[in-house]
Amino acid sequence: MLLEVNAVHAFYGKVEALKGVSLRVREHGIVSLLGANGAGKTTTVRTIVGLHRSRDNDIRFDGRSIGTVAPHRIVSLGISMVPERRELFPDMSVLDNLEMGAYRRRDRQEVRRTLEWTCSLFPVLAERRKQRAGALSGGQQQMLAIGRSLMSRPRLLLLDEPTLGLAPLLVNQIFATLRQLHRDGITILLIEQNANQALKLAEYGYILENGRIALEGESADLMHDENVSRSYLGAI
Amino acid sequence: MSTQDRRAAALGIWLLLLLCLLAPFFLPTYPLFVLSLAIVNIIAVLGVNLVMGYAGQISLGHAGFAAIGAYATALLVVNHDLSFWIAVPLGGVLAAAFGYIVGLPALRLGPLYVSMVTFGFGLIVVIIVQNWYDLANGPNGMVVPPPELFGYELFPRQLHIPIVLIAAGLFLLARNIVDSRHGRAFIAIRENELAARGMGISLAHYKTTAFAVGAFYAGISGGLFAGLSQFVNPDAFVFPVSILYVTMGILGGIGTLAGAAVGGLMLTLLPELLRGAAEYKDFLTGLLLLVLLIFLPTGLIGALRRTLDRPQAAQLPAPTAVPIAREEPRPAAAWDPLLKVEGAGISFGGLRALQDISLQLGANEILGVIGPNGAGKTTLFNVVSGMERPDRGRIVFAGQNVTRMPAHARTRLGMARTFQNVALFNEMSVLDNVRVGAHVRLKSSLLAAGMRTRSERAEELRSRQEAAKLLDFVGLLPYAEQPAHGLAFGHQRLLEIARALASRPRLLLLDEPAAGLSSSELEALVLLIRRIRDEHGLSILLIGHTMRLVMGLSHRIVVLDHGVQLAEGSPSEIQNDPRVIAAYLGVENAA
Amino acid sequence: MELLTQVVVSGLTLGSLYALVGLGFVVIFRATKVVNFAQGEMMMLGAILALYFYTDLVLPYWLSFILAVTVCALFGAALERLAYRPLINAPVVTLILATVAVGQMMRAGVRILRGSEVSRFPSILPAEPFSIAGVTVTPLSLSIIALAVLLVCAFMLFFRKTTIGKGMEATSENRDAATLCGVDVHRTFSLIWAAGSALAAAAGVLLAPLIIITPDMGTIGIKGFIGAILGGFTSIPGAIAGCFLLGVIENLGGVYVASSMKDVISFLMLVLVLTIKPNGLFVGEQGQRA
Repeated sequence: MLLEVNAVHAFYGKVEALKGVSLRVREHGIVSLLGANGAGKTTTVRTIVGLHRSRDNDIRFDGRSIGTVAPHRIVSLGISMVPERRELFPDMSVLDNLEMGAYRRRDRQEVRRTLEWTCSLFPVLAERRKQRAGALSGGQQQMLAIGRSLMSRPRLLLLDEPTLGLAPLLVNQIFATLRQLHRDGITILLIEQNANQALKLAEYGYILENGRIALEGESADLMHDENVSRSYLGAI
Repeated sequence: MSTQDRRAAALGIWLLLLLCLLAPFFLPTYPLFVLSLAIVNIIAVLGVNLVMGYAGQISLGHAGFAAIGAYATALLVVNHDLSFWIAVPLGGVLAAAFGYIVGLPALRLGPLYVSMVTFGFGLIVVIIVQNWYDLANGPNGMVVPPPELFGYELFPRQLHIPIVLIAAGLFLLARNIVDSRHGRAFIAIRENELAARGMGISLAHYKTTAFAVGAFYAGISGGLFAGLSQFVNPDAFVFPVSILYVTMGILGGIGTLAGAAVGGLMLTLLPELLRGAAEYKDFLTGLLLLVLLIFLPTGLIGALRRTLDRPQAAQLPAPTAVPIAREEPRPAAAWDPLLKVEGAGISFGGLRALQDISLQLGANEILGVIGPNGAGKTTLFNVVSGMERPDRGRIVFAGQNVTRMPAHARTRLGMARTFQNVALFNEMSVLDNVRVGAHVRLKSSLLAAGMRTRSERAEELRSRQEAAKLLDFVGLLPYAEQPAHGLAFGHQRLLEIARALASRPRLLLLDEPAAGLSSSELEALVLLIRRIRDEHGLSILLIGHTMRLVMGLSHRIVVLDHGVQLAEGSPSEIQNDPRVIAAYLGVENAA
Repeated sequence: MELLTQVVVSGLTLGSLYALVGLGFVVIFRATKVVNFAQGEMMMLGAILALYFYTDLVLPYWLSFILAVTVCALFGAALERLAYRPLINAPVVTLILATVAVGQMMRAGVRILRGSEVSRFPSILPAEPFSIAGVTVTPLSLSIIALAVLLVCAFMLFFRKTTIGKGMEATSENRDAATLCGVDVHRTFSLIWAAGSALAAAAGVLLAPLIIITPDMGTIGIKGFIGAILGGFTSIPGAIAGCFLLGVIENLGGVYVASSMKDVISFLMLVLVLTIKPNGLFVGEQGQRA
């Protein structure tokens, strides 16, 4: 297993946001984490990368415990996260944003090669490399956020709602890119609201409800599970 | 604090007052003078405390207000032969006027700029008096004759008792204000500006009022200082003095009136014991301030309270779940749209968050608004409640076009709301949270509150009783005296609802009231919302992600997706609408 | 006319120093949302240290300059670690008060160590004026403007072009995202406070020959902040332009109104601009307000 999350808890003040969440992602796997607003999806990934730490948690990456690794060192291990709402550096140029993704990499030559590869994935970023990131459209910003994460050459890519607020055409484009990245050998953990599309892309899915994993299984099974649509549409 | 502790504290304050009054009979002249000075300082610190501790606005220029009071008093006494006892309050009023003006920028600007403006103000006052040779003798200062009372000249020894009495009066006044609806408004602003606006509190009015009252106290303090030291010069009001006031407030405990007394007393007396040169005092004041900020931000009184308060939060029972009666929601009685949204649209930085939304909500009706994350639900909510102004379209409420009306005015018209991410006034008691909700219905003026008039007392009592009744209604009465932040999360949501009901709204706006609730809490909430509609007879706009809540409660449902109105209909229609299912589960091969 | 140009030149001299301090304010502010009320005291410390190195230890001028700036940078980083980092999650008001406390300690501390004596920085350049294109200038003010502008440009290049500088910028714009990129946010904060303090100290050393050095000279430092607000905090070039503008206006006011009213004029301008155009004079409407 590349990523193992074992019974993780997280608190905001007194509120217990995660009540023992466990999930695993195999090397070269692609897994989706689904659930309603406030279920704890974002907290889960923030806990994995160390941005949120309220308890000692058992999280392993490639067999190594990372629950206490300083958050800024996580990226050097090969984990990169595309945060919810993109979280770009709006006043920096597109190119600077991309280069920030390679902040801890020292080999200039290699970084340039990664930059070329990223720009080949998202040609629009190369066209606009001198523009302020904040001036890009929503879809372009999302591509930049993904591009920035790729600049660290991650083995594991965590994406937190990468299609939030995007028009359907762009949603398809993002999903196509993720498929491509998966083919290139990157392991992906994807948080989505868009259950159908996420399950079609992923091989395995987890459904979070109120800080607990309510359901998990092969995507094909989940897609036809009545409970899934019920937890989404909440029919009583 | 328990009643017993409170009684002990009151007894302590009375004893202290008695001791201060008797001090002239046993203290030698110089120590007595220092004590008088400490009491004069306490008055200024009370002012700093009202601004910083209660209204939460930073003031780095309080010595400037004191200077205005002192110089006004000196000039009125020396040049206009006015009695000291008239000049001092006039100085206070003048300082208050300046406080009001200095408070104006606080309306639109953050704490940063307020700190700059107050700092600059303090600096300017000193520069002006330093250069004001014709009237105020510039840097040399002015000699002030000893104040007279009934034809007797009062030298510092005799002036002590009047000063103590005035300070006691001002302390009482401050306590009365703090305990009134005005004081609650101050604290509400400090604790959560957004929620305060939502309760109909005008930030503009209360921020300037806080500065004016705080400056009034400093002005009085300055005037008394002039009479006590019989001399005023610019050096007495320089920046380090403003810092000293702030440090006094923080040492005692910002946000507590007793803290102002403790801090003012200690920081006036201690340096006297040290007998060091001014730079040592300044250095130690700075060091003390820094150490307090890092290690004891709540001050001595705050620390004392914490040790006295026994933790009670642990044994809160969960709200009891009552099975939901499976009744179909009654159709709304008469079709009389209470709320109309007509073609509303709004964009943020090119992104169209809402496009051409139109909906109507009748009396006694529950309208649900649902949609996937980022669909524009909360934006719609903000447009209706007045937190955002739409670029296009109209909002009509109770027959009135409210499109351009600020949020607090809409609350007065009868709108009340809750917040998606619970926004309570954390440090206030549960009961007082509800009383802030009733703010718009209470009428007593600041003056009436300060004087505790009979009608004000009656109104306060009524508001307590009503708040208690509402707490009982949502089942939180047992926690009435606890601070709000100690409540369990589900209880906090209920408290928000009680607070919203306290304004007696005609329209209740609930923003994802079920987010983060367990399923048993959810059942209780459904029941409660139904009871609210039936027993309080109001309309509800319900925004929700939790389908179970929205489907079970709403008469009609509006579905939003990407800022567009996707569908509208009864819950069963919505549940079977293919477009809605697609929006939620994701479109297959769209576009 | 003669008088006017001279006033403008000395205003620009002052403005260039405001720009140095102001840049330090902006750097710290963007990252921490805190007005550093001790920035002026750091400027004072820079001046006094340079004076000490230059006159008491008889070091060369350039070495005194560099030593003073370095010591202040280290001191700034130490302050961040000891005084401000413990308050990183506290309300902004608390942090502002902490800088006020630090400023007061520095002022009083210098007075304790050095007494209240006033001193002058011995002039290193001739003060005799000469004229270029009909404008009379002194070599001193010219070299101050040149050095200040050079330092401002050097720092801006540092922020924009180096990896560390970009890490600082990224941390200022989005702390979490910078962490995700691998920036050690804590270390960067130390660097930011060091850089801000170094800028203030440099301004102090350059200012030293122009004014009387006292522990209270730090009040001038706050002008850099006012200038930055006037120009617009969100854009560094705007902030710098604002500082130059403030220097000139203040000097004009000092000559044509009353020299004692300089500070009053600058604060009145601050209030005026904040009321009319809160984003600053040189920033468009979409600039953000902190």
